[in-house]
Amino acid sequence: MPDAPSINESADRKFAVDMPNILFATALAGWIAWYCWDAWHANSAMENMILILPVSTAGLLLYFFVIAGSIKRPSLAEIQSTPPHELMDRGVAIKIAGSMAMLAALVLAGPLIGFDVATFVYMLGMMAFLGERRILVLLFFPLLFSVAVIYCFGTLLATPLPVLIFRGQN
Amino acid sequence: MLDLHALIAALHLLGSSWQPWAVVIPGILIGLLIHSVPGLTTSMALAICLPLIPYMNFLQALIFMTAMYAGSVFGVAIPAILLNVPGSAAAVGTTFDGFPMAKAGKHNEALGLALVASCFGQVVVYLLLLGLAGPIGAFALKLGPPEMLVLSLWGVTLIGTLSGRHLSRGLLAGVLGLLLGTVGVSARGVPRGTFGIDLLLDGIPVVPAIVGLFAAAELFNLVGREYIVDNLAQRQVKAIRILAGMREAFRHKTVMLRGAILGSCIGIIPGGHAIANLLSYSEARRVAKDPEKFGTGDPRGVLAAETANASSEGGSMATLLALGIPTGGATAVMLVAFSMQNITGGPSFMRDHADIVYAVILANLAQVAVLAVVGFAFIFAAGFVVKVRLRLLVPTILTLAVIGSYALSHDIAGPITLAVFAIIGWIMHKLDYPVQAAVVGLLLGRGAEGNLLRTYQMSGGNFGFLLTRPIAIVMFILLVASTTLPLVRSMRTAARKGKLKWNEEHS
Amino acid sequence: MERRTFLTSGAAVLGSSLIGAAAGCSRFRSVEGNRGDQAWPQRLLTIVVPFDVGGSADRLSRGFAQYMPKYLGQPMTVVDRAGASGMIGTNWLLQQPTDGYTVMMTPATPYIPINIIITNAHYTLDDFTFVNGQWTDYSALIVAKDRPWRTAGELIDAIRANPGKISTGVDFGSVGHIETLAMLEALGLKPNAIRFVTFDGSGAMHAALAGGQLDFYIGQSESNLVIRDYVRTLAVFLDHRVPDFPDAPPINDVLKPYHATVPLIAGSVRTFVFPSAFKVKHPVAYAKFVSAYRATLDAPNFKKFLSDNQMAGDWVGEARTTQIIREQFEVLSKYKSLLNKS
Repeated sequence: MPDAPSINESADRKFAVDMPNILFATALAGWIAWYCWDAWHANSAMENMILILPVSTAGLLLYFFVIAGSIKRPSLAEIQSTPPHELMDRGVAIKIAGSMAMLAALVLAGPLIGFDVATFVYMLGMMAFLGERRILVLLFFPLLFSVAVIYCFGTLLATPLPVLIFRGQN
Repeated sequence: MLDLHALIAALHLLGSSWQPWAVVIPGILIGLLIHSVPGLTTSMALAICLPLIPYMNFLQALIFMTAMYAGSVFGVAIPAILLNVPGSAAAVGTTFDGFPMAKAGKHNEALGLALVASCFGQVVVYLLLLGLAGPIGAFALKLGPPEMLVLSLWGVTLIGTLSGRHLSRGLLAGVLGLLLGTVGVSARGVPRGTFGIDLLLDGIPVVPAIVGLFAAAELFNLVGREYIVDNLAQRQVKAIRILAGMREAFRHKTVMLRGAILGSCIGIIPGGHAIANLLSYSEARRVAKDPEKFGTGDPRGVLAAETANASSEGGSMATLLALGIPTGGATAVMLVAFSMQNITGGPSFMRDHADIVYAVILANLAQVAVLAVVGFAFIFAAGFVVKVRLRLLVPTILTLAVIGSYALSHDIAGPITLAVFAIIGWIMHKLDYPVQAAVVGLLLGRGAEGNLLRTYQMSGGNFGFLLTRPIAIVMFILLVASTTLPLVRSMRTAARKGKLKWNEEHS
Repeated sequence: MERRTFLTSGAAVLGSSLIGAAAGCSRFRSVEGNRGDQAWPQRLLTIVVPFDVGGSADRLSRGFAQYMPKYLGQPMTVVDRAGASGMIGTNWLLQQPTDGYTVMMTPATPYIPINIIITNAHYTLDDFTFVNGQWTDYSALIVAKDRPWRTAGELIDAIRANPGKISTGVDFGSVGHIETLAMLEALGLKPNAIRFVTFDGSGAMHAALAGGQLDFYIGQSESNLVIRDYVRTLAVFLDHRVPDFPDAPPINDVLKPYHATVPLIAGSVRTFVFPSAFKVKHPVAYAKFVSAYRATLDAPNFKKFLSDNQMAGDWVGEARTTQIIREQFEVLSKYKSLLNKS
């Protein structure tokens, strides 16, 4: 259900508040302020702050502009021409969240349990998650790919990776 | 300026034996292969190349290395166009128009454009080097932090033009990128923004961050789609369409020439190679009569970025070839190749080995032809990527990117950066913050801070110092002119239109 | 349909965590006893270089990887782990098992002391065994060729006459930087008597020097080789003259008329470095490494490699090397406050 700002002709036109943008912008501004403070705290000499100080200040100023742009009283014409804030299709949202979670898992698990196993599991999981149903493809593609990747990185490129099962590498 | 004696000796060297030529194709292939796979980087290509150098003589070693770099120049454009993952920081500009073309089914044409641009850029720069290597080298030495600062400023102005619908969000994204680029140990030796994590002391790993911002964010969005190119009929690799793209390139000769010359000049400046493609893109967009087309799949965008990328790579070789002085990055490694052959750098290099220098330049000109052929064949192989279902492609690319970033630093800094920036990038994408502005900021951050600092230090705090840097002043004037002239022009046009309208209404 | 995708992905996550748990349990290594030492080495040795590919330590290591296996009996490979002035690679060395199959080749001083004193590394000098400082560099004072000063004394007079005008390039915390500060202090000058221009990494700095954009520089003489035609060497930070620069007197001779002296901090001292636990737990294996190493240094083809690449292979011995490094550590500690004040 689209979440359009309410259209009232009378004076009590509601403010359109772009909450996600405000949250994100605030997070950005928070980081910028923290970073500026951290740098200042480490060393307030010119060498340290010559870029960070002016740029951070500019960033915080911009933050206010962004916020101002997110909270406004839209004119009638604006309301009618602005597309309603799109909510994502639930299935797509789940796919995206799941993909992100699996990427995080790969990144964390890879060095711990070995990239051979982690790659295989990740590829299998992602492909299944994204809709692949053919069992042969689900099993063999990740298998071949994991082996190929470990071999290429380990042998050809001389950058051995932590592995669990794939002996003969390191 | 052309040392004819050395030139003839060079021709003799190249013409009298097959040996120098034997390394061209392997070099190009290594450069192409490594750089067209997301997650693999130049240092991996070097890990393959360097152990082979002791088996070659000096001329072969130089040609081999420059062939590898020539291949890399085009190689990085391939994933940039097909997957929106730049093969290196130097291909970021190519993604701006390259990936939209791929999404619209014009991947063949885009790749053809990039191939011609890469070849053209290299021809221009090496012709310049052939005639002017000595003067270029001497000129390069006069360039220092103030000139590099103006270059960084120029890059910063690009951020403004990448802002999309909301200028303030674009600038904020650029600010974020700039600050993230400065994270790490400062010139005073104190760490900033590192949370006490040792792995961040050298800064946020740039390539994983860029890959995360661009690729993962885009790929997450593609999760709802089946293929990169939805239309089955367009999802082909067709030689005819590649050739069409190549022909199209020649319809924009001015764009290519401007990009090549700009790239050559910027490449000479230390640190310029990485951002030459961005600056050229920004200039091409600025002088265009219809700038709003850039970013939607305009061939001129691809051409401007790629010619500058190619020519700047040659430009960065200028000081090395002319003076034997490396200015960082690729040239430092070339110096290693020298030392493996027991040759030291230094100005005596050009004096004592002028024939070899000319031979390398001529060989590079010749190998452009080889690149065109090998590159064309390579496009066929690479182009099949669009035929692969996204549910196989997305995990493959992401895995390669993760493993590649781990292999680079052998610690989890790379992969974690990738994942974190993937999520940030996706959020930015959803909320209309231009990821490209953040990337440009990230690429510029460290250099901008360093050169700003050094300029300040060299000046001792007084502005009069700037008067002793005529080159920087000229560059700055050019920068101001190129930024404000389009504004003036559009104001004039608007004023003229307004006047006409007034005349109409009152006559 | 959604439930099925949930189940599939849930199974994947569960599976991977199970495998992870199993891996965690199986992750233990058998401790090699002393009888293993007789057979050492039984497999590939890794030389870790905590700097970038192509640097001096990296090239030297590749030379060893080529010539030393003959005397060691096993192949060797070089791995680069650059970052944080050597700290990343050094940390990595200490994380490896202390079985002698991982060794580091690095300019142990000044970098390890700098890691400890300036970057607050978690290790101490006692964590390492310094095998032999085979290749040492020294600092030299150089000026751009187009500058008028013909002797170091003229430069010093110029600095005193024009405070705040003469510029120098520094890599913060490097030996050259500390020597520059020490020299100023000894001369009774404040740090702001000269303009410090901080570079990270010497490539751009050498280009700036060669182009005459900086006035002078105190730094490693080897790295100055590349721009030797653009600069003049006015003094060396040693207690004797060197044949390479016959016109450059020892720095303390230059400073004598000004009643000043500076400590002569050694430049890069390249040595093999083991975690100290290796020598303690496997003395026989350690001795085998050292004898293979010495044999390599004496081998004619390796000697040729060294001279072709302008590297040195002196035998100084572990005791003297450790002493040098400890002395440097003391000197650098003393000057840490100088760095902070600058």
